[in-house]
Amino acid sequence: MTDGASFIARAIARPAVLEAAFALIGALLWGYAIQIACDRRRAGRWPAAGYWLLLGALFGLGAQLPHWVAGLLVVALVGIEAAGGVRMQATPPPSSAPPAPGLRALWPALTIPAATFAVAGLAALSGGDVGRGAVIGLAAGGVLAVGVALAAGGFSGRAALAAGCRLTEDIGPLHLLPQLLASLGLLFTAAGVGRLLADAVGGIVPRGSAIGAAIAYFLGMALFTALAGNAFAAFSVITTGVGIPLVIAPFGLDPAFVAILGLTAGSCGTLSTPMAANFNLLPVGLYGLADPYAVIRLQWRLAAALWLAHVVVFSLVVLHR
Amino acid sequence: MGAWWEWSAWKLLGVVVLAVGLARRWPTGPVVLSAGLVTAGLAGMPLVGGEARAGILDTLGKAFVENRVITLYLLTLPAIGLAERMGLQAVMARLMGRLTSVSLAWVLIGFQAARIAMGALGLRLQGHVAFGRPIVAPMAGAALRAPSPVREAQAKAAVAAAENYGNFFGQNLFPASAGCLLVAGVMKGAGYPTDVVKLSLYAIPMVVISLGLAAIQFARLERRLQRASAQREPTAGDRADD
Repeated sequence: MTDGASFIARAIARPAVLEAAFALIGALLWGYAIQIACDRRRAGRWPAAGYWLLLGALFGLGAQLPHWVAGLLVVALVGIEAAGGVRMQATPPPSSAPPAPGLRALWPALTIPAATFAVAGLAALSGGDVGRGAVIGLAAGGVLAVGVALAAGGFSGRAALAAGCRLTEDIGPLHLLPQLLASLGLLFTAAGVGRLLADAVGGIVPRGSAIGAAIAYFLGMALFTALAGNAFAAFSVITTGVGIPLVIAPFGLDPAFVAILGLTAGSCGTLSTPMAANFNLLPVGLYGLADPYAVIRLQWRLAAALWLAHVVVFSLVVLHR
Repeated sequence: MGAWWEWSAWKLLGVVVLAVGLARRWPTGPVVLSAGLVTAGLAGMPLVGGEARAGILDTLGKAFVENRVITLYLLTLPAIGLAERMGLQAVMARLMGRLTSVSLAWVLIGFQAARIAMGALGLRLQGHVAFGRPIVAPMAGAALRAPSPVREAQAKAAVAAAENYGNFFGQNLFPASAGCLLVAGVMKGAGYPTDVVKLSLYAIPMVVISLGLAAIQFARLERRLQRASAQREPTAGDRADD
């Protein structure tokens, strides 16, 4: 049993396992690229095929490429996006749904979380890295779920590729936004933006007050999110500039605790801003409301109360340490 | 502090580019990249680094490759695509329709709880399109004792709010969600590695509090709409004030 347990823990920790998942994504994206390139009816198929081909190379070969080559590929990807090479489409409701959909449609969708939590649980039991286990489980679940869907729905492998391609292209370059923003955070750190922000905010916040610093951090997250309409963008900037240097580092607080509160403080900003149009303005048209701000009018009250709850929860935890 | 053109604060121009670009809804990739280029360029980073100093392209490429895990869910899209062809949305909609309840507040809070559960399972679905509009909004309208266009609009706006509350805070409960992975990526890059499972556990208090606060808000909304129906028709100018 212990042998088996340590085997699982070691397998999860091996970098090659995660690299295999990235190689699989690379192959998948190349499959999309070939499929797009072969679609003769499609106007402007070459830039789109090139986009997914480059992204596939970054995923499959990323660990082998010199860093500056990978950087150049990222710039090329963004260049194709800027030139309008990858069309972004609004997601159409999935067509051709069978008249009486059975519960079988849930199987593949539920396979993914089942595998994620199963592998994370195994990792926990075997004393391995649980977070890593969850990530490996997500990848394994994705692969397993295709098998489940093929068996349950009687599809061909080709249909799986087509379905994945449609879903991936629907969202298009937006898929990469979180990853790009995390990279931007690192670039900002390397350029010293964090220290600059920390100095500026540190001049206002009273020294030695963890709660004061946390208020500045949560406020920064909410305001920047409201401005940019995106909590992920705010997170990479405000956390490296305020959250880490002023809240986590000087007081030795748990980084995970402070960071997740920071992210949800940003979500309070998302609830209160017309800049998050997908969430706050799109429903107005969708539900046929007369007042364009009907949704925000409701949400900002809860967001304000919830933002305060962030400060309260943080204070309770810090004071009872 | 030297002359004005030597202020180190010029580096913050990249942050301005990021905020303005995303707010104006320019294409996201170019906005993020130009923000990085502006800031790194103003900070005097070389394009390709050497032994002494990291370069812009090196830093960007290294960060992008190290953060590939954030976009790992691309591997799940073929299966989700097939499930949608099998009628996933319709099945979920049917299950959602079983939230049979006469009270408006219970419909809303049930919807929010259902969306939190989906988020905890990592099911990324467009709630407004898939559930809010076709199922829950009509249910909310039907739960009104004395329907009127104004009251129906307020009930539907609350459906949209319930979707956003459930979606935003529920998705952090899934350890392999883009949000948790982004937080872990940024924290690791800054030298404070965090575990995604721990992140999802620490997200629980805010989920519970958001659900509680929403329950209060929805109960008050229901009381106000029912009271108004007993007295008079609210005018179109009435806001959602309590």
